[in-house]
Amino acid sequence: MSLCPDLPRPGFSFDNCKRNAALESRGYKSKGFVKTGTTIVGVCYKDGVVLGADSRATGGNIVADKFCDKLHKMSNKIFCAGAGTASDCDKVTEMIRGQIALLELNSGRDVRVASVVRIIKQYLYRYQGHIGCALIIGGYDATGCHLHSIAPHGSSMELPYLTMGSGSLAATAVLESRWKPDLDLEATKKLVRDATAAGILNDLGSGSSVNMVVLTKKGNETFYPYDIVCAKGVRSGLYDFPSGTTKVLRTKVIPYEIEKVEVRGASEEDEPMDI
Amino acid sequence: MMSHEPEPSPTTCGAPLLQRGFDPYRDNAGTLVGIAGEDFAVIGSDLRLSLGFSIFSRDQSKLFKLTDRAVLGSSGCWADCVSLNKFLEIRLKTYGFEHNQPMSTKAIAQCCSTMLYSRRFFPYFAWNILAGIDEDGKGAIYSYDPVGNFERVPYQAAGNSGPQVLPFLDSIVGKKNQSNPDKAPITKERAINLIKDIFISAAERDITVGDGTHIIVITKDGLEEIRLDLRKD
Amino acid sequence: MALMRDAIFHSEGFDPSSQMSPCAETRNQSLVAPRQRTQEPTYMSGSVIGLCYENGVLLAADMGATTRFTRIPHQPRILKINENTMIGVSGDFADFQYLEKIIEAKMIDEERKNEGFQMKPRSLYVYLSRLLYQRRNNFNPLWTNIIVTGMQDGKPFMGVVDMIGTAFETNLYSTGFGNYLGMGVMREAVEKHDGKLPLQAAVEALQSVLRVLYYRNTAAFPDYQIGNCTASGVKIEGPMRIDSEWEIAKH
Repeated sequence: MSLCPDLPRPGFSFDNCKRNAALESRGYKSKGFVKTGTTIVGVCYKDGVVLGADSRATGGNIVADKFCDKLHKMSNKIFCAGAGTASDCDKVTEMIRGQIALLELNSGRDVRVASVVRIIKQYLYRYQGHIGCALIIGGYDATGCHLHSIAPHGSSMELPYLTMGSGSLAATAVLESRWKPDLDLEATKKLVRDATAAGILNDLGSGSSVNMVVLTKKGNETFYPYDIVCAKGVRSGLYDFPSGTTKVLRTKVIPYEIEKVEVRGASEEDEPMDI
Repeated sequence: MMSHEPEPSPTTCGAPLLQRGFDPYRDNAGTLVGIAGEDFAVIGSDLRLSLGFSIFSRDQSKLFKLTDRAVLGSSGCWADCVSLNKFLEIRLKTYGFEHNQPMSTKAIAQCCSTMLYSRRFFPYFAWNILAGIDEDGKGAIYSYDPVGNFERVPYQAAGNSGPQVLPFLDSIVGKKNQSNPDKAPITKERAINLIKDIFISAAERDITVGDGTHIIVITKDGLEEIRLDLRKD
Repeated sequence: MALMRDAIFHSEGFDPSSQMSPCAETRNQSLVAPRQRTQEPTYMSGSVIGLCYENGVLLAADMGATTRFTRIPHQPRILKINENTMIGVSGDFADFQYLEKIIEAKMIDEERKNEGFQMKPRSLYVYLSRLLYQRRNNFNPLWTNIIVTGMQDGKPFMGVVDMIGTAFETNLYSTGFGNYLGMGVMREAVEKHDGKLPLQAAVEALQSVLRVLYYRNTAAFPDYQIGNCTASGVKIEGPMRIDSEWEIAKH
């Protein structure tokens, strides 16, 4: 078995792109997909990396998921925060995680952040941006802590602090004014929280709460959620219907023959059924 | 492959037609809910003015107080909403000077429709709900489309969350598809609380709804305003 | 009945593309095409940032205009209109200069009438919103976003008008790229002081936004002006230079 699985030879086939364009020009509407208008943030500090993400998934103007998880575990000490098309981020990270697990088993070592980045960016580049993943990958490996970002087209960069997603501009403003080299853990967590919260509050595509993961040489520590920035509103009314609201149009009784009847004695420990 | 390129038009002299950058419309979102009762009408709007994913203002009511017995809610392209209401204000003032009395709600309803239709081929991109008290002292809600089609209805939801809110109103206020529903007319308190709850719920699921809601209750005694904070994300 | 959206998008009315000629090179085209209008900006200026504080209102903008390939530095974009009004304009630079002329003519006209009162900021804001909306209706927009600020009857006032006539009053705003980058910083500053922002904190917030814009916006300039309008009048300071820190970039 090879250490690196072979990549399928030719690049992405664009036949379907042409077909889809032709269909659309004749009035066919392609199905919508869930895009996570997102704020994801990553910051290096002296002992590791902190990744943060908001928890809103949107489909158009509708919130599809208020508490979705945008922090994907790649290995014990490497996490990946994803922005863009939700399913692309989920599936790409899931698939690469499998490859990485095999790589670790084959080599008997912890995989490096650079390897994860390389595998993902080569995969994304082959699809020329048609896989809509904007990722921040952070982790701790034998060479220290690293933080990379990968754009959907496959370009990547390594920086001490990064943000991506629709809320990245709001988050950037916080990071640019407050980031310093060699922050301690608490200050970094606060910075990541505030940068993500800036995205949550000022970008409509991001919302709800801040999820966070801290990656150090000891492993990972997750906070789901780290902070609920905007809590659910409380309604004053009850909107249930009295029984009998649904009109009974017809009744038909089908006798059901029971051959054996076994009655269990009700004990006091039995809880009433949830209705 | 089949060619779908358009015939070169005479104005371009064979050069390909370029797409120009100017779009006169913006969708600034906004949600409106109105409920009419026996002797009152309630109308509410959210306070968020947005474009795309960015928030322009967290405190912009979409309700325009026209007279002391009629309020118009406008959402959509904010430039059009503001302009429509400016022109409407002028019409109402002129009417007031000419007739020495404010325009009745029914007349305002017709006036709105006429003004919207005057721009039939370059429409005001605005969804409107007019709430008020009619000549008999009964609550009235008028619902519009952007080119002036209008109808008097017992309740209406419009704007960005309209499609989500209207079925709920049909069920709770309209009592549609229910056997032996309680057909007693809705009370003022119930209507106000309902609109509050609707905006709280809409803020949960619609990204353009949030920050706050502005509710105006119209009775024969005048207008009563209520404000409520919503989530800010 | 075709309602709502259908009515707008399926209307057979004004087709803007039929009014425009797409390419100016062809000689006989100008004979065929009815009108040529500025529907694309050329020299553009960046963000204008406005913030109301405790007893006044601030306006800040970097100084300069750009195309995709060229930069003209040292262009002031904050205008003092009178002792209680100032405006900041971003967008097409030629349109800004045209606006400048219109407003100046209006001020001279007011002075000539000598009726003993000055234009208030809200009047100018409404006037500009109508002007820009009318130009938009004629498909001949003034490609500008304007922040009108000043003291309206002793209270800080800020009105925003954009190129299609969108008009609203608010307490903080940034046009252009700063709309994404800077609004969070300003909102945080206002919330931190519970709405009663002192001048010093307001200036710091604006400088912080300008700095981030300079870091992150390719079209931004390091020189900026800050205009301050209080009950005692309008004062525009600058040009000043952003104190930027590039050591961080080496990490």
